[in-house]
Amino acid sequence: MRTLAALLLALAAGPAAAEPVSYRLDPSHSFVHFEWPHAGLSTLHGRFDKTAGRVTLDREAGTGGGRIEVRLDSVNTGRPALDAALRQALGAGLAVFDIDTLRVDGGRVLAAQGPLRWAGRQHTLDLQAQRFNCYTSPLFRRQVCGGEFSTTLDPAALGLDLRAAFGLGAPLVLRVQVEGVRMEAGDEDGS
Amino acid sequence: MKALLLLPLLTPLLLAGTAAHAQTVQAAGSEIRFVTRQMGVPVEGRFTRWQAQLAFDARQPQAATVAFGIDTRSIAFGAAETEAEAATPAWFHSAQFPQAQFRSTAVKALGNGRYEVVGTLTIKGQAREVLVPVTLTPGPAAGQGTASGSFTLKRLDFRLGEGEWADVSAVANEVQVRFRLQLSGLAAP
Repeated sequence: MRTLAALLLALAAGPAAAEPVSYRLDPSHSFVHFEWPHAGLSTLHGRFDKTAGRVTLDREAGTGGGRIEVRLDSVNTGRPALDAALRQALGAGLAVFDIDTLRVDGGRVLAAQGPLRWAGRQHTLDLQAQRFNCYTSPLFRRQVCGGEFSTTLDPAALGLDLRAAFGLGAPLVLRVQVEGVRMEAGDEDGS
Repeated sequence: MKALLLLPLLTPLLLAGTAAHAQTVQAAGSEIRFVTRQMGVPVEGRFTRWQAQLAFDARQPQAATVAFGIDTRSIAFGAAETEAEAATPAWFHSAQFPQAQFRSTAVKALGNGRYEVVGTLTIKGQAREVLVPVTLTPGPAAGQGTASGSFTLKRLDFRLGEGEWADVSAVANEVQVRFRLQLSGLAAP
């Protein structure tokens, strides 16, 4: 009887032994897209082509964090002339999003919060997940987790005023398409 | 015209095929695989269509010849998106370079069934000399054997991954190639 109780306790303790897992962003499936109102008329759609980062996630404990870096000079609206002008305005630096808090429920990330830093400015982002899942990638043959996140902000909060020069106003919608490959011991640090 | 251009390439293969001790490669159990690293994570692929011509006599290994023709469109990762990407001009440019080739120039016996094969590997029009260690294991039946080995190439030597893909922090420069060939028609040593 004592053995049975010990066994049940061990089984109950099993899943809690899960450890935080580190994921590296897959650059071919991770992009920050933006939707920027133009002159109060249409919306300028574009994205930043180069995004890198790591996220740590403990799906059992429901905790995690990480960092995502966006190369601002990789801005891509599909119009090279506009991209060149936007690169001038945005500079060649990084926008860095430090994820302090991941809200996790049932193993799925629901939201990611933390400061976005750009050109000495800082603004707290609250990214909400429209979708989040994990699967075994046929390419990497290991777990890949990812989702679709979005948030809305006033670019003025980052000191970004492109109204006069480009007619780009507020609010700015960011949509983050992100997939991370589970890191394992023995992976080379290719970053 | 195209056939005429191919003739000089095919001639050594035909010669190898008619040599006294030509071997046949059995498709079953034979494979050409490779491992690269994307973001530090190993990614494995293989080629599903290729031909090999071997003429090998254990008593005269230095006279052996080995030739491969690999259909670059037969690259397989188990992920259609990646296979489509691999065929683009930035990678194999398969429309213009449908075949990768290897032709041996020298074979040296090292003993204990081990050999060193030096040859020219041509991918995407880029020819490089490579040294390929090969181990020949006899069996299971008489005249049969398994030739296996691996070597590492640098993808940028062959212009595999141009433009944004030239960044070796995204896809490593080193690619390990692994092969196993099931042979029949080996002469008794």
